[in-house]
Amino acid sequence: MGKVIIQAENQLKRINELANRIKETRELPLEKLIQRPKEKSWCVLEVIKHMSLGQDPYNPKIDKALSYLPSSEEVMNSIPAKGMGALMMKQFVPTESGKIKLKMKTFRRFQPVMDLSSINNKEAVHTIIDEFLQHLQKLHTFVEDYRLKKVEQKRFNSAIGAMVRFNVAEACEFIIRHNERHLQQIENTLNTLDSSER
Amino acid sequence: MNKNTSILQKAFQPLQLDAEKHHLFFEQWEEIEVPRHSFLTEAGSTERWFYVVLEGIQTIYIIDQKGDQKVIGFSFDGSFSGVYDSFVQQKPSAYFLETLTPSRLLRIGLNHYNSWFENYPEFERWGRIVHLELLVGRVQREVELTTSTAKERFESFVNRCPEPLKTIPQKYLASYLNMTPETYSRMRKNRM
Repeated sequence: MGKVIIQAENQLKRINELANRIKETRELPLEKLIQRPKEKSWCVLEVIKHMSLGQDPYNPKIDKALSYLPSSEEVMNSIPAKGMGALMMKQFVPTESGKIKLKMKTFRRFQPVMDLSSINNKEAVHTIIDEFLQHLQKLHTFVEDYRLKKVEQKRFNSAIGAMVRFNVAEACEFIIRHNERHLQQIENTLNTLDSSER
Repeated sequence: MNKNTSILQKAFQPLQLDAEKHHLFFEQWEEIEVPRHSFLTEAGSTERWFYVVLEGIQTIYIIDQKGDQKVIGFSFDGSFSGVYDSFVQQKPSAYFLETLTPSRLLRIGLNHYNSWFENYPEFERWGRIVHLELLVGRVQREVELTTSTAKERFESFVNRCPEPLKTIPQKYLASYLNMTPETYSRMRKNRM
């Protein structure tokens, strides 16, 4: 498995693609968004909530790091991700057939706790989807900012502690890959629901 | 006539409008200023504007599967700019459009742009000419990229290179010519 190469423009493109796909879920019927494909699996809305929760701890860390980093005259070239973070990111990529490798147990604080039976209108759904779209917008701003900064001068602990440390570019890559992994989960869930209807 | 109007008029040659249409056309444009290394359009987003460059240099590029930047073209003082296919089709762009220098541009939205063609027959003629020039230019570039050697591409580009492009970092020009910055630099030295 090759290196994880990080490039700001590539990240922006992927964030835009994620946002486009998530916006499409706003138009899905309510029942498709809150129906679990299996008893112990998440529904689409829970996956979206989980993606927001996954980014939450990084927002203040990245904000702080960006305020510390010196500006650069030139746009950042591509850089390889380092250490344990790079190893984790490699495992995140779904296979070409859409299979999700390295399934892992979710930490309690990242678990989307919601009472699905109380979600009975589109407005409640849109609140959760829009919250995640705002997270994506924030992520987009982070990437725009760091591409003109000396990003390798500051590292910070990941959300799982000091064992994995990131610079801003790596943290953004980690979040994007985490989201892409869960977007694949959303596609798989929708496919399962579609095939069970037939 | 102010300077912006004269740049617009030149960009839209051979368009001829009577005084009333002339006035309506020119008042639809909005002027913007953007700093260096800003995105006017990003891959995955939809182009909202058609631009005429008043000042500055912009590059349009694609990020390939490996994450490498491949420059498709440039825009500069007096030329059109924007991601045209995304603009007219209102579909997400495959390209980035980025300012390489601080830039001033005039821009117009799709509704106004389409209304010219719907309301003024003069634009049909202008559109035919411009699209023909675009098509011929793209075919020529495709032929050059597939049949010419790196040296031939370099020589051809240097001979027709617009003055503003001589000031931008070589890596963009090298990518446009589908060669490494090192090859570009070596050819440039040999030519001096």
